[in-house]
Amino acid sequence: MNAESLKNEEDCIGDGRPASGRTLSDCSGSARRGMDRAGTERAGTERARTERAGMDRAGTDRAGTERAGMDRAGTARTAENARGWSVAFALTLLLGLTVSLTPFYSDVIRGGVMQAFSFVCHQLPSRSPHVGGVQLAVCHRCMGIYWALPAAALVFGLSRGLRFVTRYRTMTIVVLAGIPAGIDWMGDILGFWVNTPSSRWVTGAIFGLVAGYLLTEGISDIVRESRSKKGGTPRGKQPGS
Amino acid sequence: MPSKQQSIILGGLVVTILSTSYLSYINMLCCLGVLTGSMVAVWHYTDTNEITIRSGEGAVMGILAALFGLVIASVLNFSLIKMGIRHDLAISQAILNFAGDSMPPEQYDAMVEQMEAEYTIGMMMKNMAFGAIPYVIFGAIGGLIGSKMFKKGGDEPADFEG
Repeated sequence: MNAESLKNEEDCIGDGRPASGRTLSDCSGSARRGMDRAGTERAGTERARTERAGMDRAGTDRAGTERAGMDRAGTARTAENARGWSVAFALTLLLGLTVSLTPFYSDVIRGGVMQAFSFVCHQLPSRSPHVGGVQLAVCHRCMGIYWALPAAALVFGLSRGLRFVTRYRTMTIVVLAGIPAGIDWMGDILGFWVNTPSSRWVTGAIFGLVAGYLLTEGISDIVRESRSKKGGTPRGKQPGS
Repeated sequence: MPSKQQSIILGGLVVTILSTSYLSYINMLCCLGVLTGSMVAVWHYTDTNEITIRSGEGAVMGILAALFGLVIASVLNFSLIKMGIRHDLAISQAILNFAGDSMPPEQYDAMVEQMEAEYTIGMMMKNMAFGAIPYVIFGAIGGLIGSKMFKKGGDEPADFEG
């Protein structure tokens, strides 16, 4: 390549365009080819840039849609959980109130409630709470269990439906929760100590919290399933899943 | 879906045994006999069929097992009481022994009168009706807890309708 053609190349394809004061026809054939190549590369780069921008946009849109979908599913799940624990809370609160409001019932209703709960509690007067001199329907320990049930539903609600009980060995947790009540009862029976209303109440409440948490999980599932059936969502599917 | 009948009957039999005569006092530990029977029904079903069931199914199984047990136990208890095995008087007797002195006289007399009354079929039916309330509640609770405890087919319940 001589000096003339080298200059021609530099002038013509220095930046892929004819240098100032030169027209395309001034360039030699090889220089024109170089310009074509440079043009093609530029076009390719621009196309790639456009495609990349398009993909980025599409990716962003898709991610945005997915995020929105996940947000919607999360919101739906939160709403389902709220409904679930609210139902559980209402039912267990009703149970707690039923056994606790005996002083305010008429004689007939009180007799019925006392008889119904005599199947599940010894109802020994010395081991049962009294309000205004009237015995409540269950003993201290059962009362602890009954009032721990709505408390557990509240805990479930506050933990946003975190299923930490069923995530681990459920059976072990339930048995462990019953051990304090068992020890408290056994110690009294064997004469090691005399248990108090507080100890019976607290140990009952420990068991009630675990049982209530499981119960709330179960009721929450039932509420979700029944709503899924009504809404036509396949059974067992999480909302939005 | 496999039939639940066998498991419900098995759970019901456990409820029956734990609700008959002096063994029925186990139910005074927060209806432990009913809870156990309803859990046994769910355990047997999930274990036999190697499946995980929904909480609602567990609750229904628990209720049915509890009611089955209540009916059979009521009939058995009636027969045993007629044969002279008066387990039903033990708690009343204990109450009178522990708290009889501090009890108002009319309440004391009412309890004694109740203890001396003959146990009739009407009383059995009345007891069954009142017993159905806690048995349904605790049967459902036991079944629900059982469905959470015994998951033999993975974490998600089996879907036989899909």
